[in-house]
Amino acid sequence: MMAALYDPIEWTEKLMTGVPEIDNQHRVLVDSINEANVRLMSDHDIKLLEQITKDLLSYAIYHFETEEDLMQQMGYEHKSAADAQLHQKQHREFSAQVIAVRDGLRDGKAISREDLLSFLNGWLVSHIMNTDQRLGAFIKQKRNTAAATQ
Amino acid sequence: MQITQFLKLINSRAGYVAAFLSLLVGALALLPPPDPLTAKAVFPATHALLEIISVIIGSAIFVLIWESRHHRSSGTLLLGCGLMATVAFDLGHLLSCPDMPDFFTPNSMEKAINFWLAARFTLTTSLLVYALGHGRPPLPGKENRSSLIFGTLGYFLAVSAIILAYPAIIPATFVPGIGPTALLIFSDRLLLILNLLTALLIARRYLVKQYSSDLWLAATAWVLALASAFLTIRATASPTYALLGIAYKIIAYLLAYWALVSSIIRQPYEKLASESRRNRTILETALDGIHVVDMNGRVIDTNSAFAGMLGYTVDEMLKLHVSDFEGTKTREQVAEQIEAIRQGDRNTMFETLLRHKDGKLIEAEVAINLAHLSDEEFLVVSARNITDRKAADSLRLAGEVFKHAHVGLLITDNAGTIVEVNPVACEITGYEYDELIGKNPSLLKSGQHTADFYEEMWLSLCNQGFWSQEICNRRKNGELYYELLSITAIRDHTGHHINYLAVFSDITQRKIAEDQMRKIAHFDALTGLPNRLLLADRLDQAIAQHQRSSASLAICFMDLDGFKQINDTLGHEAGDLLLKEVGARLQAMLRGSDTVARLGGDEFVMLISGLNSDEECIQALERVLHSVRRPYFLLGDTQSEISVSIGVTLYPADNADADSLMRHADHAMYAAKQAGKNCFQLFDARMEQRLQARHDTLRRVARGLTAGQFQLHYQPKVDYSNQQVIGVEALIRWNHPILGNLTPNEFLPLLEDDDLALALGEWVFREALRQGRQWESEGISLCISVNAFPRQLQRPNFPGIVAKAIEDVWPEMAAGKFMIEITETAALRELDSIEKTIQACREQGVAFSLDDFGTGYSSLSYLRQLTVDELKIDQSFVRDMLTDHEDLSIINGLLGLGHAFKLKVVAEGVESAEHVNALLRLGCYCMQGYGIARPMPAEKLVPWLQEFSQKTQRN
Repeated sequence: MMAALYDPIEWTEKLMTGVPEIDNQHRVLVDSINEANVRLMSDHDIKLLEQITKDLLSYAIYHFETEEDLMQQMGYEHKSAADAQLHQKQHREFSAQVIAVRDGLRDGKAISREDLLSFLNGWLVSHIMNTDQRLGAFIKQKRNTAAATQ
Repeated sequence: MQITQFLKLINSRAGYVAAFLSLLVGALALLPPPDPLTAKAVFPATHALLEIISVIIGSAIFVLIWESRHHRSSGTLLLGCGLMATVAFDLGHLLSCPDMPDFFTPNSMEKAINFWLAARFTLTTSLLVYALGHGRPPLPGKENRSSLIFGTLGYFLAVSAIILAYPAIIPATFVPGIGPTALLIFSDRLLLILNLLTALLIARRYLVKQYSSDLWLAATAWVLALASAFLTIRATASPTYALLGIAYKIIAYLLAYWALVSSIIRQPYEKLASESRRNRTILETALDGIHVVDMNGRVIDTNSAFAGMLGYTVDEMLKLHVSDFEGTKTREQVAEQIEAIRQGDRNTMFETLLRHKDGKLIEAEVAINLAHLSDEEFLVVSARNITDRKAADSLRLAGEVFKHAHVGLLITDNAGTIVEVNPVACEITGYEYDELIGKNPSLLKSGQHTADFYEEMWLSLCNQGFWSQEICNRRKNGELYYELLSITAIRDHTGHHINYLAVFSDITQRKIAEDQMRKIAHFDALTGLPNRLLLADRLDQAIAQHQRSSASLAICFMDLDGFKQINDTLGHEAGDLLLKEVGARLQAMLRGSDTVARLGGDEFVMLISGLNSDEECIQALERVLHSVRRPYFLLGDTQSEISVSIGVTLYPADNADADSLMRHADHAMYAAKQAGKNCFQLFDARMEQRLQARHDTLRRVARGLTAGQFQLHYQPKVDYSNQQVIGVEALIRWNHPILGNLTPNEFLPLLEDDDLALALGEWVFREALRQGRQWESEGISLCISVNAFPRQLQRPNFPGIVAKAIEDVWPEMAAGKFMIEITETAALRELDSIEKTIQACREQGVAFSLDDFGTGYSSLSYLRQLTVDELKIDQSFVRDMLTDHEDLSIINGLLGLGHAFKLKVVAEGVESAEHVNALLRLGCYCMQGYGIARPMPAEKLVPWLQEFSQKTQRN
């Protein structure tokens, strides 16, 4: 049962949104988390954890910007304001969570590897498979319409 | 006369005739005489006929001689006159015969015989004189030879007159009824002997002088002797013999005719013909092209040399006009030139171009001679083909150039065998002439070039016929030298390569100089290691080597950790020594094929080639890390330590170009720094993507800074001992255009290691100062504190930057109105230099606060070294102090430390009234936190201050 937590996230069709730039970035996120998984197995010092959270946050912000930029460009909130808000909220929550973990680490309140990974894996997989899929479907449809009208 | 000479005489046409007639005489002497009666009947007519024939032939001979009298020898002329007289006497004899009508006087046998004797003696004497006089008796001059005819006529008339008028004075020669007298018989025998003698004399002369006419004349005399023999021996026997005698006489005349024709007519013609043949032979033997041209320019004669020169047959030549083969002149110009020569133009020797039948031009030297023959004028032209001479001239010139050129010249045949070299080539290569000829130039090979190099050379020679390169060769003495070599393929007219010409000059000296220049240009002056330029070169080579190799090339980007600190604390001299030592240690660990280069500063790059596994690479890097970490003794006994962060990428697994490989290694190095330094990181593609993301984010921060997306919020610090606001902490916010408001927590960690932190940090300083000045002008006096990035503090000129900002923004700022908060961990890292910075800034009236206090070592010793004004207890202790006793006691301890050093202590992270009360109980009066006030924009602070003031007054 515990093994599930340690397993790397497998990149599958189910995780793909069909929007190339989003999928590419998701892969990087998935790889980063898998890499953190491997590194934390052999080394569990605070510095490494800090570095991982910092890198993760750094890339997450970059990625969120990409997604939210696409949302604005495509007018996602007009189609589904609730979805758009939920999506942004999940992004903020992720950042806040990671910052909390980092601050906790700095304050000497080390998070366990299991906790960190279960949070990261859980958030990423559920976000990608749900919230991002809806955004992906919307973007694809928009693009197809745009291509058809050209 | 020897027998061989006699045989020689016989063995000729004249000899055969003479011999045959002699044998015939012999034969007739043996045969019985023919019937005398029959002979007698036909005698008169036959006799007359034969005599007439002899007269005609004799006359003809005379005419022949007489007509050519000016060209004949005197002997021949005398003989001719004698013959004429003889003919006249023979005619007298015929007319005096008894059966003929009387001739002046009554005819008689004796009268006829007297004429006959006169004729015989005259001819015999003439021949004898000819024979004795060697053909050249003294005679009047050639102009006066006509007088001879009168002499001859006189002689004839005189003798005829005696015979006709005075027969009595002549001794009796024939007595009718008795027959010939003794005198007549004697005369006949004398004539026989004289003729034989004459024949022998002339024959002898022939043997000496070889005039063919003499041979015939000798035969003439011989046959005359035979004719006499008929009469002498057998005349009485039958009149037939008398007729045979006359026939022999006719034959003798014919022989004489032949002799004289041969000398008078045939010989001159033969001579002419042979001279003509000789001239023709000379003409034909001449190597020059000799031809004769008429004044119209038509060729009227040519030798075959000229025809051959122009590729025509002689017959074809004779149909040509000069303009047909003169390559430089039109028909009109040829006519003009001929006219000019006729007018006496002396320019008759010149060089011109002649056109060969096939159209090719021939360089020729021409000499023209204007010749006259009778009335006719024509040009004799001699043309000489000087193409070869010209070619030889230029060849000779080429030879001289070849010999004296100041470059090495070497010619091979198409198989590459050396056929010629010049002295400079010998000098450069160190080989003697004979040692090079017949060899292949490969004997000069140095072994410094690959087979590909030579293959490319041949390819270029085959395709372009030319190749030029700098090449390294080996002299005879083994020394290497450099030459600039150009090879040109020489083709024949079919385009096949027949020779190769190599032109080369020794550029060894230049190469050495260039090498020195290159060394200067390619090596780092401090460490002696290759510099960036040479590294690029080596990297290209290494990439090429590993392209098809299963082994890997490691590109290791290295950056020393904390080098700046050593430079700052120990000085540049020590820093330089350290760099040299690091370079030496890296160099010592490498194999010959590897490279270590210094890019500048404390950056090095290593290229490790031929790695067969990742493990091998990792081991090598571990050794490098270990080696660099060993202590350094730089100045005196001071021991220093340093470590290195290494970023590695492996080619060809990372199949990128040289620039990208360097960038990847650099990024991996960055990752190594991130991962805590003193380690190495392998590059991977995801890392690249993440770094790309990071760069993008940083770019956006930079853009945001110029676009005014950043803003300061201020959070008050309150002193509950006197209910005063003691200051505000400026906290940055990013109004991200997409993500909205971002807190410093979210984006500041991304900047920490980038120079962007410096720009952003400075902006914060200036913005805070600006706000402080504005509040001050509004009557609000507050101490504004700002957070400094550790990176800012590390700048050597940080105090200067702060001073400049104050001077620019708030020059009249009072001391204590501006405070810089330093995190404890940052301060601890470089304690000495931070303290120096603090001291320098304090002189500008800047105060300092130690942030996040308690998270580091928080020891007495360093607190003593740092001159700060304020300690801020880290919020993590405050947050949990209500539940966590440990935290509570830590706060207690920290408060004690602060009080001990007489520092103001501020508790951060105060979230509730409970926190406030608990802290007050502990004796901590200064606080900051959400529980008191959230960070707020500047415009909200003033209302808040009023509210706070009213609230405290109420209390």
